[in-house]
Amino acid sequence: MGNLNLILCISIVTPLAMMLCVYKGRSRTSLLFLLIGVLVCLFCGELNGLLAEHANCTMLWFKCNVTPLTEEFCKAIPILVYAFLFRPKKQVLLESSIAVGVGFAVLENAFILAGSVDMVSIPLALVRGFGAGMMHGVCTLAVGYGMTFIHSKRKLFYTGTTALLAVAAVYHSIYNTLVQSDLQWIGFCLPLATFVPLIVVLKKKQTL
Amino acid sequence: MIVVLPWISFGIAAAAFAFGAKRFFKKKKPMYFQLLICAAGCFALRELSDVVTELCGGSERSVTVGLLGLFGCLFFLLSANYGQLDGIVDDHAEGSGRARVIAFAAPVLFGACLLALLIKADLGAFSAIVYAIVLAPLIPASYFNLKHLLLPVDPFGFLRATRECNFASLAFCLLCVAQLAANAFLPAWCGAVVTLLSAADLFLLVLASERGIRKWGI
Repeated sequence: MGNLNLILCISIVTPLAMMLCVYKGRSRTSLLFLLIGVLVCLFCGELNGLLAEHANCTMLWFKCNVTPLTEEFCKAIPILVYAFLFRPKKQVLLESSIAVGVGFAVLENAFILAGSVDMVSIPLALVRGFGAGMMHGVCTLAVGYGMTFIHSKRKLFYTGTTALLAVAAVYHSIYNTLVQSDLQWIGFCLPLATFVPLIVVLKKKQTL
Repeated sequence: MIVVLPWISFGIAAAAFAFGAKRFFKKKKPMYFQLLICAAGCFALRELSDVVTELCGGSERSVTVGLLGLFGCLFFLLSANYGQLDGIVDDHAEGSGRARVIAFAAPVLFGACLLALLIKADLGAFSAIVYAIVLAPLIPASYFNLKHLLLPVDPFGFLRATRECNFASLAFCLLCVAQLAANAFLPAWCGAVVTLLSAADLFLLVLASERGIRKWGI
């Protein structure tokens, strides 16, 4: 079980990586960032494990307060590098951001569900699929939106992206706190209540 | 009573965000005001985090990641003034030099207060570091708020339109310092009351934004 995260990562990344040779243009970029999201999740798993060993706190407090910070920070790095080096269009950057979040959720869900096979059920898989997928998607989309100002409004980029990163970490923390408690159904509904209005607003503004 | 106060604070901040988001997140509305609304939203998220933590059995430590909501709120206030407004209203003309110098009084005062509180308060090293990081953005934010209050009025009326917002933002910075003082030296209900006042101040900020939008560019 020790290498379960790595095994799942290889089995997800390998077939998808082959698709990179076939796809072109924006589809390829989105797929690439989906794969990066999976790899970031693998890295975060190891990093959180290492930090948890040295942290002087309970696992519950760690999951609610430290993992949101590390995960949001790690997910933001590939988007920041992409935005800084390649100057993508706003829409491409937002698509890439959401792809990182969704890729992250894919491996996280696979690991959590495979790690508790005796408790897993189809409703739980559906709820986790939608809940975690939307939550990670919303968080990286918010940070990605801040990064769209990286070249046009540099001052706004520095302050705005930091603020959005903080927002993403708090939102992630609220989700984790709810999911770890007896109120986990509210936790699973929270991303739905934010993802749908956010997408509607972005569609209206023709940002997506 | 102390259990209800975070709910009321969350309600006020969420109402401020909902009211502002409905009116200001439209095409051609100035981003300055949209960022102020985001600050209110961020504060609401911070209060929601506290409410959820209490509902789920509380936290083993006094500091939680929810404090980052306050950090984000202050960064949005800074974003609005430094990232958006400052470039429009401050042309570095000779007449505005005095305002720029006097405005340093706010960060010096707030910085000194924060430092004194963090040293005097018995928060513990971990909490003191977290509070120092979370409240650090209020130092530059207060500078830009005071500077934009002191600058000579610009021909397009941007400063006139944002005057009330800058007052409310500066009051919010003051309440953040008061919050730290209340948490460190006063009973828990005092901290909750200061949080309630902060939420009310953000509601006033949103109302001031609505008036400011009408004056913007006139």
